Amino acid sequence: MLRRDFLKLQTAALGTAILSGVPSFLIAGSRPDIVVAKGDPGAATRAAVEALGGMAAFVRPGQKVVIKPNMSFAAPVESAANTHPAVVRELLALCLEAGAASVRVLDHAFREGRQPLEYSGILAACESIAPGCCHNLTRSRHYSEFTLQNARDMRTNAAMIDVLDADVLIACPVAKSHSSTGVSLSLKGQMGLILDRGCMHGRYDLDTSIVDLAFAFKPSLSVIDASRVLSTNGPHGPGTVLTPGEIIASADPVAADALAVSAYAWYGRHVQPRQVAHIAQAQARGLGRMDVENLTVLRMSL
Amino acid sequence: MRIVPPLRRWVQAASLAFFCLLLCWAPEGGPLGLSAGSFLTLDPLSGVAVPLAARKVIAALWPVLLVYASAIVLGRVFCGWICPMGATLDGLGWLARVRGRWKPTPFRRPRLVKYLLLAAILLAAILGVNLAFWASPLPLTARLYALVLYPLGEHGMDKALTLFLPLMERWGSDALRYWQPDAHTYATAWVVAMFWGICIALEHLAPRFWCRYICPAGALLGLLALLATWRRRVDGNVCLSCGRCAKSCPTGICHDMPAKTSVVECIACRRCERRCPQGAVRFGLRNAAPAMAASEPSLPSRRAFFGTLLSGTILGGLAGLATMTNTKDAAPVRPPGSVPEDMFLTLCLRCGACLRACPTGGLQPLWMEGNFHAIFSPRLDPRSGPCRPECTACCHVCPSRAILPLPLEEKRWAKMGTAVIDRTTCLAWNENKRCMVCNENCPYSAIAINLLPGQTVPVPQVQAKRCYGCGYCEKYCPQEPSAITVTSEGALRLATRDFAATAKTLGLDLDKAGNIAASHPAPASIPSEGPPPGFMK
Repeated sequence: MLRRDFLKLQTAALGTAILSGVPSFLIAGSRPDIVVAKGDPGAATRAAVEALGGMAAFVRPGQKVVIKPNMSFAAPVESAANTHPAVVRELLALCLEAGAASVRVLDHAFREGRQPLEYSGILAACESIAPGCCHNLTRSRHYSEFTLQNARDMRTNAAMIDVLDADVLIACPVAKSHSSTGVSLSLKGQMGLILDRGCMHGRYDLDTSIVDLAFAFKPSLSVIDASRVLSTNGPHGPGTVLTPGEIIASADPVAADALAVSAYAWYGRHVQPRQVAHIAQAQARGLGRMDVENLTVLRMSL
Repeated sequence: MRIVPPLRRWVQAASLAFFCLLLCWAPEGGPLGLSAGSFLTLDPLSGVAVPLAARKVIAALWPVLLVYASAIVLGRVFCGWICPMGATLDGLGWLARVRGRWKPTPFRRPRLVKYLLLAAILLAAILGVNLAFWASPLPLTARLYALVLYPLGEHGMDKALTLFLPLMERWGSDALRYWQPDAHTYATAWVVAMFWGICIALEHLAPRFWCRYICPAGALLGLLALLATWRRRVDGNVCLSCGRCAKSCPTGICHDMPAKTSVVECIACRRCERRCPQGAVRFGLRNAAPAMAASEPSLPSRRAFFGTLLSGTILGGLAGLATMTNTKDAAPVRPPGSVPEDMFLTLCLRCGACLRACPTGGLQPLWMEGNFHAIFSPRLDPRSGPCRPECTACCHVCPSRAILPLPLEEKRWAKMGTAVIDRTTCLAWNENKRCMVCNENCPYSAIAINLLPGQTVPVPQVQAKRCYGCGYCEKYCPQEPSAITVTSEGALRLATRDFAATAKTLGLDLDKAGNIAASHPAPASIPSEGPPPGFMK
């Protein structure tokens, strides 16, 4: 990870410094930092991941993968409260194609049971490719106590055993607003991997503990589903749903989140990534970069 | 010795199994349009006490008429063959009984206790107070299975799954590994368990102790059985008075005079008929009875009768007194579609069908939290589980229609209460934390986030007209105890099913209500100045 980040920084710096105006990914061997693909959610997801070097760049054969979508709400696709099932299905297929030993689609949903998985359409999408991989884990037996490294506030919690065992973690949140953190994207979405979220609101500072958690469970790949954006009344809605029809992918969750923040109008207004406290803190603590304007962004339309 | 159990055992087992299956199916509904409450409508005591107390005919309880008819024609066959409480006592009684020694205990006078209880309950009902639930056999049995045994099974399963989780990982058995069966817990379960423990322990003194001495429903059926045309007869010319029937009788009535029959006590199990070596005992039509069939005087004596009446009146009066208070307490948060509170307490059988039906386990029986009179009645305890907007399970299981059978379009408007924020403990109000968990979880968009003058962070405020009282906020509030709680304030309690129309007249705004599919955005409550909710400057 570090080496890749370093290389990316190098290419980005080179790209901007030497070849200002020419995207650095056009230089042989270099990749874009962020890809924004517009089109059918499934196809756009595949195209975006391919542009980042394909799933093989993230998943090696025989590895265990956990995909973390939003599937907390018993709400249909149009509500934009959950990730689009086609995005999840495509990621699942890409991981399997890359030779993953096991792929699990997991979330600790707000609601217990299979109901939110069914309503979101994600369960059916997963069952169509890899039956039995999609679960809403709400019982403590699926969690194990762990210590968060590099934490400033939340040093212990219980996380999904599957996630602690996983080699690769892929975040695929839907782009939506959030009443307490501004937005809920790939950093905030990691709250769905632990057992006790309440303490992040009460005992700890929410933004600090979100970044603590993001350090512990930094996704190798973040794919933000902005096919629909719940721009108001998130995370539950119902709210105003924008339909940019885009998929944002990056190896840097902070960069992906930052781009999503700046790309869409939240409550009808344009917002800077630094206005999202946990994104600003994530950059300050070195988790990733939110200065999207300095990163190479590949935009494609299918 | 008989190897194959007699027909009665099969019927009892089938009846009990059906009773339990209907309870198991409570959340989804049983076959043939039957619900968990369907069997409960057969309760002989509730069938008369509840309509008396409610002062109206309760059409939903019509099946109890079949039980009364059976008693008038066949005697107490319900007790002997159908009653799941009798079957449970017969089945679990072996824990307490001394095997092979059925003491034909005389205990004649205590048999009057059940009449006393019956009189007390009926008199209380005449005074308008429903006490039947304290002693109705079917609700008592439903509580045992729904609140104690079924949850025990669920928890046992859950523990086993947890225990074998490492093994399942090794075997790669994903289906079992990720299986998360419900594991609900109910308040008052220990009371119910203790009650049943005592009932089973009493089997040691006499088989069917409860049915012999206490059960007022049995007393009622016994009185009806005086009219029975089909009953036990003994051919005095053949009877040797050998006493085998006395030894076999589970109600202990053949003891003194084997040749006579107390129809009010006989549960028509026909065990004596099988045991009689002479074939002297026969069950058949009353008129065909030979000479010695004349029944012993089976009604209580005059003194006992008036004594019963008097003590019943006193008991009933006391019970009525217990329900009277000077202050009107706030009602608990009742299930959606509950009739007005006074009528609710009268109609509710305390059977627990709605508790068992609630898929989140949010409906819990009251114990001493409320009025004495409200014990075992259901309330929403959001910390146990909230009310799902798209669910109508509890509405469709209530046997006495204390919860009206609302379709979803009506239930969506049946406001249960209103959430109230305790500003002294709320993380946003009190500690200036940007916690919006209540807002995040609210399915009704009822919690507005406003940046008020004097506050450094936006704070949640409940919009009463939009609040359904579902309890998602209380369930997930990170504070302990919850800083937001659902109260019954503003609950819509109607005696008819016109919830949607009434709610609209009252200006309630519940149509986002559990119907995100309708997807009409709530007007965004954004501050006119400063950044949108959750963003920094």
